[in-house]
Amino acid sequence: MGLGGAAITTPVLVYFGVPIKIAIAASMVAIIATSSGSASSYVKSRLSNVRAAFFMEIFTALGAIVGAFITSLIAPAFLYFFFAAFLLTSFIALSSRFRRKQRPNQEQDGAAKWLRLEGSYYDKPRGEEVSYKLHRPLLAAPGMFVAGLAAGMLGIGAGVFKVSIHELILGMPPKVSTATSNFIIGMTALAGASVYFSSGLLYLDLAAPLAVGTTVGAIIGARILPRLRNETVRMLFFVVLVVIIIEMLYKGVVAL
Amino acid sequence: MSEEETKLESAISWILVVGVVASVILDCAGLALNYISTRDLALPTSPTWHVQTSNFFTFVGTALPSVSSGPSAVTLLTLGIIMLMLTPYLRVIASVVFYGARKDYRYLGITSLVLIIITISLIAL
Repeated sequence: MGLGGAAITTPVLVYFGVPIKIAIAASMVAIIATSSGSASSYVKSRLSNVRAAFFMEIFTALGAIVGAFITSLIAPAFLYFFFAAFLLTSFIALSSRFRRKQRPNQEQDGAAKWLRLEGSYYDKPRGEEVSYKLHRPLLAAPGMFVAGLAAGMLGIGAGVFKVSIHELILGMPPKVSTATSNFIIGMTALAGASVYFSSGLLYLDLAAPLAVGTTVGAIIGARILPRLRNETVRMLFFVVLVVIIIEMLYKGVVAL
Repeated sequence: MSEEETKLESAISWILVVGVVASVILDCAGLALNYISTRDLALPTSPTWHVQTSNFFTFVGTALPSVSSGPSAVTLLTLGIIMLMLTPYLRVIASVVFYGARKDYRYLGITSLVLIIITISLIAL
């Protein structure tokens, strides 16, 4: 879904008494499985845009490294609030795009032309080939750095945030943006996870079962996505996000 | 995305899936072995196996020799995590090779930059 699941697993682990930093480090490793595990089905349906993904990965990887450093240094209490704030931002971004119907973007600026940011995919429910062009990659770059920062700090994919940047700034169709976000997440998570390695926050017997669980979830999710309509994908996204925000706000209040 | 890029991606994605499946199998085996030896299936809230190495490659270096001393739960889980962390790394390397072979210098540069950033994070941090 472009939502790695770590945004859900981290609050759950914290609920069961795992220190938040350790939960974040374990989730960071586990979402690599989510991203790599779902890759085949997205690629087969030619949904992810590889060129756009690599261009943006430069910025998310840098952001993730900085973010993971911040997390290993700051007091754990801050992380609850960052978590809630991040999800709330995602929620606002998502609800604003929720009502709007997007047409595939057909304009390109100079930078996007230079990067050859364009593509096409086969939309199953509509039964037609949809081609699109992307624009404003230089505007998306700082946004992707922030997305990477949040991902590295909170041990999440920051998929909601990335998807918003893909659609609102680059002009990507929703399905392409979800699949591309998933593509990026694995590489970004690796950059963040290696920082947690050296900080000694990674616990094997927590990361391993988490990886198993998220992989199974991701494989099922990726099989279902290409069959759904864009509107259905958005609706599901929306519901999941509402549930997580309520959960995190509750945790934040309890932690006070 | 060009036809060639799509083909490359399909090939890579299958390698990734194999890597993830192998990693999950190793993790499951490690957890099963842990259960057999400790009789405790519950997820420990204060985990005992603590990764404390200066970087990923020294982690791999310390993990591999322990394989020869027979499989233990820690070894299996360690290998599972290594396998998992290598999958996105492998994807970046494959893309660098692909764009290099096509003499697409623009994307060779971009993918190389990503590879350098991630490698630095694995080595130096």
